[in-house]
Amino acid sequence: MRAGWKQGALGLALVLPPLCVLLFLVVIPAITAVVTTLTARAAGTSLFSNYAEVLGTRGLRADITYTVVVTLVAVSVTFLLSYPLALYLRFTRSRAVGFLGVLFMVPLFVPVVITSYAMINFLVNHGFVSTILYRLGIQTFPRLMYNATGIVLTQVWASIPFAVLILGSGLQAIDDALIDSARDVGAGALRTFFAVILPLNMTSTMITLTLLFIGIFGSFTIPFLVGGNAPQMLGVTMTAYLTQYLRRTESVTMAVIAFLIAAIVGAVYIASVSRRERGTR
Amino acid sequence: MSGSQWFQAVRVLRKTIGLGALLALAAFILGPLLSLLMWAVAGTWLFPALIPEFSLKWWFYVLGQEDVVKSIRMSVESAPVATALSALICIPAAYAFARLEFPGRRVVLLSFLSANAFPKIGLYVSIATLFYRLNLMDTFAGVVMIQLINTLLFMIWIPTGTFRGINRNLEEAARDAGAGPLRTFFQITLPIALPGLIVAALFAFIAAFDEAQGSLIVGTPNHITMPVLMYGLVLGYPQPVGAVFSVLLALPSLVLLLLMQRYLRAGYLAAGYNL
Amino acid sequence: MARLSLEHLTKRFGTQAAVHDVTLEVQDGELMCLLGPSGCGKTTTLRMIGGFAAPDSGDIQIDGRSVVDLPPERRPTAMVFQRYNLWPHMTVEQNIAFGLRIRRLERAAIARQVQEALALVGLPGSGQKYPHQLSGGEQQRVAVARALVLEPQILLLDEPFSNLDARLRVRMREEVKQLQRKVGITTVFVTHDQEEALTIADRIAVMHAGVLQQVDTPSALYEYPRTLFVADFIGTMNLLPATAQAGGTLAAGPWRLPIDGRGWPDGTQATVAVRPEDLAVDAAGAPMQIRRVINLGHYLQVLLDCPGVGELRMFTPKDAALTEGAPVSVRLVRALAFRDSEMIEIGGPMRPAVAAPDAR
Repeated sequence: MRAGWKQGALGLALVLPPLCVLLFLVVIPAITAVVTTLTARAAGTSLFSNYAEVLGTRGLRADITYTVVVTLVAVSVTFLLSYPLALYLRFTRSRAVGFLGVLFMVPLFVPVVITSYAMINFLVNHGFVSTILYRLGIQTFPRLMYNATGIVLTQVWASIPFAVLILGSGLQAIDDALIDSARDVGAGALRTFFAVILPLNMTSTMITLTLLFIGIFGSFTIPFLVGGNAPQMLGVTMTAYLTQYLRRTESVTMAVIAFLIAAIVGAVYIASVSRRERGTR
Repeated sequence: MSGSQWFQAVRVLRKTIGLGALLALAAFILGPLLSLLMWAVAGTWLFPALIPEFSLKWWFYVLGQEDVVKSIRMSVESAPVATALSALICIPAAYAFARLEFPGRRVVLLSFLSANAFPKIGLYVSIATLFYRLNLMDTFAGVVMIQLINTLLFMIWIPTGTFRGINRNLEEAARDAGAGPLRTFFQITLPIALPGLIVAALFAFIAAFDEAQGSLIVGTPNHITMPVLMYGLVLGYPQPVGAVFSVLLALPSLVLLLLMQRYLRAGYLAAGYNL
Repeated sequence: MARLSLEHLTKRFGTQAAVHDVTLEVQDGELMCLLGPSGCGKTTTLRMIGGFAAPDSGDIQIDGRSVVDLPPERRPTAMVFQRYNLWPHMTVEQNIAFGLRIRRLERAAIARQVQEALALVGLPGSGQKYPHQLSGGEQQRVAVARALVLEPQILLLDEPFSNLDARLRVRMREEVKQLQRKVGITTVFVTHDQEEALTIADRIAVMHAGVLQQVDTPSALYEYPRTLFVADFIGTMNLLPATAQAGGTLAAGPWRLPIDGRGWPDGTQATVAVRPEDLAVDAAGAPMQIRRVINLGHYLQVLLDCPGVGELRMFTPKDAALTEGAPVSVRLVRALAFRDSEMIEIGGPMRPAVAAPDAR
């Protein structure tokens, strides 16, 4: 009993320094922000009038919808590309796996600003891709830059390593024996995937989807440099309202709305994880 | 065609498609970087030339700019400090998360994760107000603190997973042999955990080094880091300038990647993802 | 060299008692085995002795001195774990010298003791190797060497050979037994393998569900198990449900066993335990059928189909003429009857033949 008390105290003490940083630089500013959205309004208006105003503005509503749609598309494309890649890296025995593993980690080490810049040069009209296509005789092609497509492509590029990493770690935990026994009873590759691999890897899958969504939803740099003018992703709109239009309250209100959307997605993940944990007990 | 011939053909086709898809994906990953690299050594590059005229003149131009050199200095000084500070406060905390039972452990660990969910711009307003009051605006310390926030996630999550992965018997054996808790941590736990901690430090460094949004607000005008400068370069200058600067900005991260590649086994990185 | 004494040791995990009121004395120089199935509390008890778990109540004394408040680094005990003993980032020499360096011995003395320790466990010259360069058995030997080099008063071993293959396991436990005899160190050895315990222990403490069942020498445990659990756990045992009957007999299968003067009321349920070697072919015995005869070299193992009971196992000398499928008559030479916490011995090696078959 005594040992338990001491351990608890020590644990709290060790956790205190980063917790303080978190508290002062994240939690309190976040709470302050929320409080501001509820109090910085004209006398006589309702508590949520700032939210009503933001959600009532057509342009801002369009931005919210745009952000959700672009995020969902980016998350889906990333997921659909990363899962096969993770499967390949996990199950092939070729010697190239080591090299390929490192190759697909490269975007993780490239700063986001540079990613954006590189993608701009790559995809813009008269850029690298269009030069190659032109050389191949293709003269007209859809615009790939400074629009939603550009944002999606850039986010996918930047997110693949992360997704492959997490999905891959989940796949590592699946014993080869489980796969072998499925093939043994006659299941083809596709059936094995849906019946054995996908369910067993569900935790990593949920983590990947959740974190991808949250990260892309609130992002700033990529949509700022690579996106179009209207509609814009929320991260860009928020920043513009703050730094350009100097409309602090609206900016912070949008931040809280974005956070709530991200929190809902996070809550869905936690709910699904705890449901599964309860189920296995 | 007989049944087995068809099956073989399909298999070959599947393998080719697979290989093709892999190559396409690899091209997608490497393409933008390749094009950037070519821009960095380009004198001029006019459409529809496939490769540019090579020249290093833009390097001299960029490195000759005073604010470029200043920003390089600022980045190179602030990011390591932020990383080191982060390691100092987070690694003991990670050990606590991994080994000790204390009230609220799950909640606190979760809150480090979810801190990243709140849009940074929403935080920076309040932080700016706070910094004004504490005279931290436009200071080295202010920029370091902003970078510190970005490192917290990696420096808590990955080390926690690393420490969890070390079998308790190893630490108990040290206690059994006469080592107290502190000596056990420094002579046994830490050396064994080192690969995972290095990976964490690597990601933390990159996160600190690349931080731009907050540093923009807090570091202007005298403490500009490279990413902040980059924003302006992307928009205002001829393309080779941005490319040269990109290579400069990417250099530390990629050098570290090459040095640390043997530590980059997925096991270390994702070990922290099991809450 | 010391006496170890556990007094009313209890540890709870949540609402479950992992270890319940365990009292045990280990004599100076004795090798005591803690034996039991998984989850019986033996490892928890060992960890409490070593200082890695704190008891909720009770005391642990070494040579009369209570150590229960001491952290592991201050206890005169040394533990060898089942796995993950050796620190992977250190050489064998550094592993062994670790504790000596903490005690600030001088370099020459440390070097000498490391060499002696390695020689003691049969691994001279392995000092510069890393753990991953050693086999599983060698790693455990280094772990034992490291434990002994600190000259502890009590040596604790937590199933150290469970991870090794069967042959190696047998060899290693022989070596440990010899080593322990030679050095004379008081040792507590946890295992789930009753054969292992019977082979090397001076005394065995059998545990089940956190409770100490019986503490005795191997032969006493074998001959006189005091609870049904111990009877079943040690060696092979045939178990038959039995009912007490009027007239002082216990009806067990086809046999009627005399238990006069025991005071078991009519209709009491009990269990009768018979060793395979305590069943004998006898024309005056109970009739049953031979299902299988297995020749084990120097004796025969016979599987019998006993009406109303099921399968019984019997050991007989190899010259017995028995054929599969044939009928045979079997009598009980010796049996133990268990009812709650009571144990009765029926028959015995010295006493004349006992059971008469059920009168038709």
